[in-house]
Amino acid sequence: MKNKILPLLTALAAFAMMAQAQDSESLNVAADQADSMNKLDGLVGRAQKRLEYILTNLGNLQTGNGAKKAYEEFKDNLEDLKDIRADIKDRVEKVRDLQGVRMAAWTKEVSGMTDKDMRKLTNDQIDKAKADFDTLDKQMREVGGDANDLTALLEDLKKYFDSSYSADSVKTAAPMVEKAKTSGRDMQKSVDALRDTIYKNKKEVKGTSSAQ
Amino acid sequence: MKHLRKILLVALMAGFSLPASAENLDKLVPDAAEIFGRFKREDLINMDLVKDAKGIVILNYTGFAIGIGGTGGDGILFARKDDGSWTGPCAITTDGGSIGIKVGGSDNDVVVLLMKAGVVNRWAKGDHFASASASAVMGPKGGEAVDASMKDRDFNVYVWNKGAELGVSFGGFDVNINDEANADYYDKPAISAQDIVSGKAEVPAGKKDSLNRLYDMLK
Repeated sequence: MKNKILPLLTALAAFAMMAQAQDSESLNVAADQADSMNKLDGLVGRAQKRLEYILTNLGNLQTGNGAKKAYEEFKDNLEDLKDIRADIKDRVEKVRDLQGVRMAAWTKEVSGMTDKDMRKLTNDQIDKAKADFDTLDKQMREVGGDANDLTALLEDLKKYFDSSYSADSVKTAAPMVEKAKTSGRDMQKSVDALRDTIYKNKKEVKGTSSAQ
Repeated sequence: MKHLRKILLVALMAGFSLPASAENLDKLVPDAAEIFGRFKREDLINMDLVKDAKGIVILNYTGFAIGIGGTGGDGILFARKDDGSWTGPCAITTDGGSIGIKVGGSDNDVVVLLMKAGVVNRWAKGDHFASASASAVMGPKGGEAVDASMKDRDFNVYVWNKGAELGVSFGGFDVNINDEANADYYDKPAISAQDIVSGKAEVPAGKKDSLNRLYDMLK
């Protein structure tokens, strides 16, 4: 009987130690990362609204519906969009940093596990978390690159109108305005897809955190 | 000094009891896309039921109006056209009573699916909804089964408050048509809500781009 209880107690103690280890740094970082993803989603939502306003401004510019006001609003909204994008870049870096810290902490915790099946199970979870984040990160880079192009195009349109704003110049720039509107529309679709991925990642990260 | 303090106090109280300020549709449409996008992304709304809805209202309630003399919300109303597509947006506000606010809070997003054409028309007329007449309940979430009774309700209501889902207390509120916002958006001073929800009013070309994102979400 004694022979049977001792291994059982040892296994239980090991499991308790493991659970305690899991309830530490990686879990706390996961909570921070989920919170950071939430903030990122909020910022991206704000950027989408600004872009939506800009698309309406460009539409109003072309149709002559309060064109002068639309032009002024376009400039303001573009400035706001640039500010929000700067915040997004900072927030993305924060999310990336936290991912690195979380994976390092989680990996360290696994190295303390004695049972090889348990180690494998947890390593599989880590691999999945890494793969999920890589997908998100790739999407963030792609959308970020397209956003740079779109912002540059909008900036060029602003410079063009700054130097010559009239009904004729609006007409002359029609192909570029159309290009910006089409890019803007595509951007909104890409960003909606990105936000779906952020949400899924956030949900999974939250699932591994202590802040459920 | 005492007099000044009194004036400030009265002004402050008056400010708190004012209904939420009415926004223009160029802002309300992206706001509505943001609200509906979240409901859809997080599976909080049942898209099968959206397909059956004859109208949809997307509202945001913000500020101190909640809990101090009623609620005030800004939002838009769409109606389903005969061909299944959606009409242009009609700007509305609500005040009085309670819509969706059971627990309280200062920033609530509300989506109301209007399941009957007659109910859409009541909203478009700027009707008063007494709590006794409203057979409204919380709508089913995404992935949940939709039964005939849900399709037969006047409303299916969805509420979001900073991540917390609230219960619904629905009724005793007035719908007001934001005529000024509608006139600005459609560039027609005499446009009526009925013109919009009947599909007679054409969305101006320059506004269509911004609307398409919301239309895509509603599919």
